[in-house]
Amino acid sequence: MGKLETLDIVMLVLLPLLSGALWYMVGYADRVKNSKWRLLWLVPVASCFLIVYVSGLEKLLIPAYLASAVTAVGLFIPERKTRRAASVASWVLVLISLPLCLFSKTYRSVDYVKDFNDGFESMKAHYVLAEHKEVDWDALYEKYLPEFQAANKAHDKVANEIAWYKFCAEFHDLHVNFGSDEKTRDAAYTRVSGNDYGLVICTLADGRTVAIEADESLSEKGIRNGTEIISWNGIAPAEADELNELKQMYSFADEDNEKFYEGFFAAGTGGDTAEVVIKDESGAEKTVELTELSGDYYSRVKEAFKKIKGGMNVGHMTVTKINDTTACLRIKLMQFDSLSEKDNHKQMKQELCDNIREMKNQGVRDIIIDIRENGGGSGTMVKAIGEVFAPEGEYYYVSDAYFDHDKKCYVSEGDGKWKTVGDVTVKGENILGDEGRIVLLVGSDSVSAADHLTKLMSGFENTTVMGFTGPSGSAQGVSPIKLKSGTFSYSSSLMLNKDGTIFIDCGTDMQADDDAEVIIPFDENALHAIFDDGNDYLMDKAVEYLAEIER
Amino acid sequence: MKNLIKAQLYQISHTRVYYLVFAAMMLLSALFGAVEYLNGSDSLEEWQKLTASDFATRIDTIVTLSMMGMTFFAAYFCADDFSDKTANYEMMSGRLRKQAYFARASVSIVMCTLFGLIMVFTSLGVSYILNGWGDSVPFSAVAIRILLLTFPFIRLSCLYVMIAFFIRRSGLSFLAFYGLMSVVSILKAADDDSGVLTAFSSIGKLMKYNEWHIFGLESGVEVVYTPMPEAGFIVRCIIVSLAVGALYLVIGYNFFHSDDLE
Repeated sequence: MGKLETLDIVMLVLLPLLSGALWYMVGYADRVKNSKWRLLWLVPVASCFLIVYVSGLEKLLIPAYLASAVTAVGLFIPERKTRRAASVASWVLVLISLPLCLFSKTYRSVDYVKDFNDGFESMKAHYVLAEHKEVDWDALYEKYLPEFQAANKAHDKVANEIAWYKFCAEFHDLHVNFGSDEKTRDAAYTRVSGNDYGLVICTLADGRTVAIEADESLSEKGIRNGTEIISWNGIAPAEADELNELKQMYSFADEDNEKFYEGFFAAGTGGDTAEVVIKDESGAEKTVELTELSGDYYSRVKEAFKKIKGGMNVGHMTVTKINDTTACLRIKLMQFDSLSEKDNHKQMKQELCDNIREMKNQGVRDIIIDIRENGGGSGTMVKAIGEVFAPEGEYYYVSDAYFDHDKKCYVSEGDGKWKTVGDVTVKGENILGDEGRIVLLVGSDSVSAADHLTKLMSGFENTTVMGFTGPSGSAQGVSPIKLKSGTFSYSSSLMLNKDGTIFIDCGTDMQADDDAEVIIPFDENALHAIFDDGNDYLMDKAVEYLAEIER
Repeated sequence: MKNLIKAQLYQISHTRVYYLVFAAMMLLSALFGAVEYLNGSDSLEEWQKLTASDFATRIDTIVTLSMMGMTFFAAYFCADDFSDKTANYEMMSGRLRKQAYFARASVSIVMCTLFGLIMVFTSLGVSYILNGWGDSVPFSAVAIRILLLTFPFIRLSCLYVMIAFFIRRSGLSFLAFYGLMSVVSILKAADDDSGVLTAFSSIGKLMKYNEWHIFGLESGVEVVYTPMPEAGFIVRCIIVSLAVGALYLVIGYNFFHSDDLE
């Protein structure tokens, strides 16, 4: 019975009890001869209706619903035989419902196709980048509908999740997302990720493909972090990468970011064994056969992602002294708290300024702002932080788009330009003074408002944006919609540049407009520092940069 | 039956308490429509005002209030004649039970439905006079949605009629309707995609405007509404409301035609 929902159990128990009671009451109602007793034959249908009102309709319970309706016959035909037959029929119908609910996969299942249709239609109506990205809605619908139909047929929640992830990745916009719960998400990634052979392959800045996150058991075969991988199962890692379905589920808004992660999915492909050609320590090519360690490549690649993308592991909005002249402000999310949002972050700004001044009193001159893995949040917080760190003067941030309330849409002016309604600027408070310099550390998971901060601060004379890659490149306003199987979100509010072009987000060229000024090459030094020594290589590079910079 | 309907209408038009309840409910409805104005909306900027079109998107409170009024009228129109034996005398003077039942049922259904619609329109009208219409949703869409309430109101009135004829005591019937409304309000209803499982879900879906949000950095969050409900829902709502309403009337009549009338 564990599978049945409580209210359905109540109904399946209550109806036979009521039918039994009505069987007994047949004789009593006959003797009393009071017409009010007839109303008793409406009690099952009323109870059933109340339960359905709370728990919702379920196809497999139709026999039980009929069972309650059948007993109502006793109201219309007040004869002993009919009423008793109705009670028996009610019993039988409930007994039909019970095994149907217990053993059918369709019991209380979500209609994934309807969910997809609802989400798709909503997005088609309101997605603000459709024109910019030249979205072919019909082609997308035709491509993904079969996947949702298959998930629906199999009542497979994980398959539904996979289909959504792949659909979302098509837009190259990190604001197009679907999510149900963590367990289903992990199951979805794990299902398609392939086998774990004990390593992940990545591409170094010089183009070589090497092993990272290598399992210790591979060292006897000559594979360690940094070992060059020439081919994987007879093909180049970049080609093997394309064979892994997991890659189709990852979205990149910027081509450079996508290129950086080329090869990451290759080492999940293959059968029980994988034939790998490596370059050994002497420089000679050698073929080794790797045996599958487990069927879960996702856990390994997730760990590799975490090490490369992860930011400083301290509290949100904390300022940590790194050395005598440098401190780090860690911003994990562009949100502070609900009160702060209401007063335009005045209090937050005050606290931040106090912390920075305190650091300055201790001799700190420069600041590293770490927004790696910052999932975004509020534009007003971006503005507040921008104001604190901007040099004196006025700096342009973004333009709001004009929304035509009669036509219920934003107004296009042709040539990829939209009508603006006003510019947003920040007035610099120059808290670091003329000597202070800022490094903004970004990564491919610095999304949305983190993209905004990157774009805004890249216009400051005192700031350098740095990272292995630029930020995500997704910057429009996002709205979520609640579907039965999860929450689906997409860009629904337009953010523009001064000339009316789209702010940051890429079009069909996959070139987002907020790259890092200084790209730190992911080379052997970076690889060993991150995967062997566990260092925060980017942070070290930022400190080094600030020490060497000419002022 | 025509004469019975006339008699019912005569009785209603000569009962002072009905006028008092009607006036009180209309006053309440007008007050709800004037809430924004009474809160000082005339001193606000145009964009800050909660106009009548905004009010229309959150008018479900008034609809609930009108349903409460309907419970009173249905209970007293249908069941009050049993306490002073008027209904019994009708039958003793040769009228059929069918006539007594359907005369009261038809008067109650029409009156309750009209009352519900008038109440909603009154509230909206007051809001319009005081705050202007605004541009959240066009008037035509709001009017259509409110007029479509006719069908769930008919369904609900039929339910009230059925229960009133089961109980045959006006006060008790009113209490039973009130209890039913309270239970429905307290219980959290499951999502009803069809929108026709109950009269309440139909009303809820008619009064709920699909919406999405847009925002800018300086312009704040704006809600953009979809004015019209889906065509499929409108058809479902009309057909199911009428069919279920008829079923309620049949059940009520079936019980009444062989009930003891003391």
